[in-house]
Amino acid sequence: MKWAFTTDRPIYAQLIEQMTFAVVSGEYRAGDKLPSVRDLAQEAAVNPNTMQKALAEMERQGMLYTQRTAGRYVTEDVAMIQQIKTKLAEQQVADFLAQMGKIGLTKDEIIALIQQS
Amino acid sequence: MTEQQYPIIECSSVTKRYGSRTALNGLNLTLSRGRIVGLLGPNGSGKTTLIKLLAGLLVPESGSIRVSGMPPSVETKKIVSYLPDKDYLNDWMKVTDLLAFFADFYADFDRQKALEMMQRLGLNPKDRLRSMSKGTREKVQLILVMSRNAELYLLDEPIGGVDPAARDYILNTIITNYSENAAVLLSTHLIYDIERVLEEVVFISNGQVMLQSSVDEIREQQGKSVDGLFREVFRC
Amino acid sequence: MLGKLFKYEMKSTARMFLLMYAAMLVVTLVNRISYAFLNREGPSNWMLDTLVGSVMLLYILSLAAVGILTMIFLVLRFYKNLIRAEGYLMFTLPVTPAQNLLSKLFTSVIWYFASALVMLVSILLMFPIGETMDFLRVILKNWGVISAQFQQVSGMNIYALLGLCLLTALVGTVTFVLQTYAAMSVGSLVNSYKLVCSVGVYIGIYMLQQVIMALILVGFGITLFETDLSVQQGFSLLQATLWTQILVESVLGAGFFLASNYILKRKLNLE
Repeated sequence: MKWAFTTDRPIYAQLIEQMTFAVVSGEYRAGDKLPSVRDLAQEAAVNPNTMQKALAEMERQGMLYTQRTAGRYVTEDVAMIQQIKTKLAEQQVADFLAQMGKIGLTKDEIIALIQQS
Repeated sequence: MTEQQYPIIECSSVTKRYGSRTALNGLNLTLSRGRIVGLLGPNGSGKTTLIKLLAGLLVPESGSIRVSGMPPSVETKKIVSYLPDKDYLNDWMKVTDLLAFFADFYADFDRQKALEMMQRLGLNPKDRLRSMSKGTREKVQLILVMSRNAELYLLDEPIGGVDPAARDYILNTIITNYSENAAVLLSTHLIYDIERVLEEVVFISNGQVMLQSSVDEIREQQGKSVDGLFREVFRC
Repeated sequence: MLGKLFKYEMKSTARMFLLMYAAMLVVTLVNRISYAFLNREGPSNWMLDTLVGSVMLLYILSLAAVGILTMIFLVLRFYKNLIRAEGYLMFTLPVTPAQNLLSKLFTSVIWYFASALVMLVSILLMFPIGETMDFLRVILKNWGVISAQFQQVSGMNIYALLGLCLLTALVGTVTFVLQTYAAMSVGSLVNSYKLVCSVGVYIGIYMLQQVIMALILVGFGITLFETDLSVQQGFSLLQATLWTQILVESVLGAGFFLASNYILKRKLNLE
């Protein structure tokens, strides 16, 4: 997994985003066991406490859950994941359309462009 | 308070002078366990002096220093693992000699772990320090320091003057070594590269603490990275 | 911890000394063999005699070298391990500066005595072994008579004298070593040219010592050239002198130790 960070936003927020992306894109599927906090922190080259904070927040949101002795898992709620996936996609589309709008294309021109590629 | 609950570092009005020059001027600092903290400041701000005081190499003119509730002494040296920013080991020593030495003097030294880490670097137990490249030597010094199960790790400019690959190795080692009971205080002026690894930063200038905050708080409240804030604060 | 430091110190220095002693042994044997040539029968040959003479000169220089090198090596060892970068290691170990000083002190004294012993054995080896053994055997056999005679003539117990001499040598060595440590500790306080400064401090301490000793002797009205002393009085004087020396050196040694400890503990100045 490729971790990329910008410098002006809190790291834990970016970690949540990237972990969320990993889940919806299928890198971590529903019910999968996550690597330990330390391993994830090592992978992302971030502070373990910051990673912990991000994962705890995702747990609070319901994307992850902890089984006391076994570790952290991705939620088995496939519907929830789908929902998040859709929302993410919608956000991307909105961003895309806004960008296209700035360039100056109409909706038909955009659709034609997409069909061509 | 049990021993575990003492903040790992408590500095109160610490003043240290070198002749006529004042390096630390009534410095106050408290650090909790389980954190990786960056000590950031321009050259001459007092970073190395503070670290040497915590390591027990220097004695302050006034003020009090407590490491895990104790003043710097033989007892604190047992729980503090210090990495100076220079070559401080005897060149002629072999890897086995170094391991034996550290194991002999430090009860918390994990010899097996150190040996494995050195072998992963491609080192032979019989290799001498003088036969290694500078980068490898620095990694060896780091391995020895991080292989102790200490309560406080003091790293003085651990990534200054190393190539990016070595830097990644060093930061990776620091992350994997993380323990909730211990704290890592590392001083540097290369903030950009290590910001993500730090949880908390302490800005030090003219012998005093200017700012102590978590990295995320700075990003959230100031909208810029710690590196950006540092440049702003210490603009010439 | 002191035991560990001492062990480490001995291990770090042993190699150099054992090599030096081995080399000295070789030179001794070479000289012994070459010297034997001199005493052979037959016409003298000036070339051979010159060679033997040269070897003998080399031998004598080597003997002196053992003593000098011992001193230089031990001083540099202290300097490199405690005053230079290795000090970062040694002073962050869970040991006190005093323990660092003592471990090196014990080690140094041992090597000084070992070197002296090696020099003595080397000189003994220059004589035919048979003669040396006979000589020793004679002394041992007549030891009772010798010591009784000694007691009668000098008024002193021979064991007491030997013990006193040994003690003087021991205290003298200890104080000498501590003096070098004090000089290096003071010298470490400057930021550059520490070693040069240490040498200067050492010379300064030495000269100060000489002045004070001279004053003490004058103060006690002791001149160096007393004649009209009986043998017994002579030995009494010797005893008194040695005891005074032991006392003074002990006080000096303690002072040097305390000064070194204070500087290394509270004024450590690693670069």
